[in-house]
Amino acid sequence: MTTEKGLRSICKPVAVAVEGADYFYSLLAQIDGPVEFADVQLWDFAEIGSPERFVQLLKSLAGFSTKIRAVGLIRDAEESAESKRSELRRAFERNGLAVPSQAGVIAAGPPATGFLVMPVGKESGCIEHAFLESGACAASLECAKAFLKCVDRSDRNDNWRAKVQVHAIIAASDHPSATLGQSVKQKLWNLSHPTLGVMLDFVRRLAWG
Amino acid sequence: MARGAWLWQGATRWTTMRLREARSMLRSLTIQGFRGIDSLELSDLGFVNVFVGSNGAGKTTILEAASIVGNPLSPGLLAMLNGWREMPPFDANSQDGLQSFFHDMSSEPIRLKWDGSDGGGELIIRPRWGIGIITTTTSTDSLSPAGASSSASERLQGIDFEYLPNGGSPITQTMTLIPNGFHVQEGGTAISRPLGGFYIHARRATSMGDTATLLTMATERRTEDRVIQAMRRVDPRVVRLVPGYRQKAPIILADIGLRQLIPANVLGDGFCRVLLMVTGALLDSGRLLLVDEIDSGLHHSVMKGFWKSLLELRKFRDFQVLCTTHSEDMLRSTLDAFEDSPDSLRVFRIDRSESNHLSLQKYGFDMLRDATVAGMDVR
Repeated sequence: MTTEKGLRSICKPVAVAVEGADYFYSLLAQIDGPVEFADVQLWDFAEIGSPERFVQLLKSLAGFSTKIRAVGLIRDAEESAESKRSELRRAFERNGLAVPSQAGVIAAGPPATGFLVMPVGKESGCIEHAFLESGACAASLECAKAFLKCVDRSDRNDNWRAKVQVHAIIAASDHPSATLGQSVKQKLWNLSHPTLGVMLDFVRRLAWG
Repeated sequence: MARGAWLWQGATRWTTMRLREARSMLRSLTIQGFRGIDSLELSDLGFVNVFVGSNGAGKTTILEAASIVGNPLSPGLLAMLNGWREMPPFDANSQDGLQSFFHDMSSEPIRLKWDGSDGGGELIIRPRWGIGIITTTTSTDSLSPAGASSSASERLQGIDFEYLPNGGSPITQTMTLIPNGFHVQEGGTAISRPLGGFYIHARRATSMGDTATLLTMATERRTEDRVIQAMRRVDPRVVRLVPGYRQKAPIILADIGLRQLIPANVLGDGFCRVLLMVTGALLDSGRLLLVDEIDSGLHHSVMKGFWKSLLELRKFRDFQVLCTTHSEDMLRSTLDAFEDSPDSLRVFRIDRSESNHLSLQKYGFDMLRDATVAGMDVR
């Protein structure tokens, strides 16, 4: 697994691009080490904003046609999971790659493609919702909910509320200044819960066909 | 002596070449059967064109091809190009160096086709074969007298240049290998002026003689301030540069505010190379500035300033840059330098497949910026 985020070239045959540092480090903490993920290279498309542009750029890199056997995209549903699913399908389609029929399904390539919109099964939301639903830190979660009541405002949305609760839980842990990714590494969450396990399962299926 | 004639004299001694005057630039270039390039088409060339790619991809070969189309009536240029690659000189007894220009050392002609402000055209370079005598010297051990044997076989006798300028009459020149060199028979003069090229190869830091000559021209034309201004982006201490001779060798003295002027060489290889590029871009008759490993000797902190200098010099004179690099810093520096003139930049990566097929990936400013933002290394 590549662990640094400098300028990188394609060095693994399975490219998984995620939206932002929380996704990146959450996944990294789980796949860095196990041999079943040795072929996976993580990328982050948040800075350029568009998954379509990201796939275009990935295709332009040296070794794409010879080394890459699978490409995966993972991002938040935000306000509309359907619009994000369309966006991710378009990212593959407009770059001439196989288009998966639905989220979580791997389309045969080459290269094989797949996408995931988190939290799976919800029509809106973000990765923090999946962490909250994973059932970990039950005691802290109650406190986090109480804290949210104190700071909540009517102009805030559910994604903001989920992030407040997740970071309140992290703030109450042994490592209060940890990022979400670091908190994953510190095993603060129940990663085997289906709401979170779906991500790792998706990467596994992408890597192993 | 015609100006083009001195080009191949002492080819290995010259670090740079000065070619004939031209007015403008190269827009596209198709290369076929040249050195390691079977076939490659470059289009939409910009003001600055940076070529990247792995070792042996063909980056330097592209610069060589550009230098030839920039000066299509100088077959002797091939000797200089070989010299810069530190290949042995070619003559009637040693043709490998000449044959190395042909893809796969084959008999297929080299075809270079281009479109540019010189009107464009096509140059076809054909090998000319014939029966020659090979003399082989043998010696079994150091105490025995050497023996010699001769045999006849088909050998490369020379090459024919056919220059087909768009809208003009074909011009043919021949190069014939002779013992200890070659002879060129000129076939005519082009109506339009060739683009001309100023080539700075990777193997040597600089040529102080060429730089001193160009700097003298700058002084004569009262344009030395432009050179100083450009060089201050690399070393802000520079106040004045004075060309001259010391002990029969050309020298450039730099005033950097010390009690006395110091030789410019002391300021480093990077400084000297940039000085050569700046003076070449501003004053040489060639319009193509061709620089192999343009980052060589340059500290990352002055790279942006260097590009900015080239952009500023373009206000005074029309020229075009084709260069190679392996440097990530050099590529990153373009993002700062070309922010206000993004259309001026092109980055081309050459990929060579296992089957030796070449492909090209072009990056404009926006694509290069986005790739960098996404943490992608386009090299």
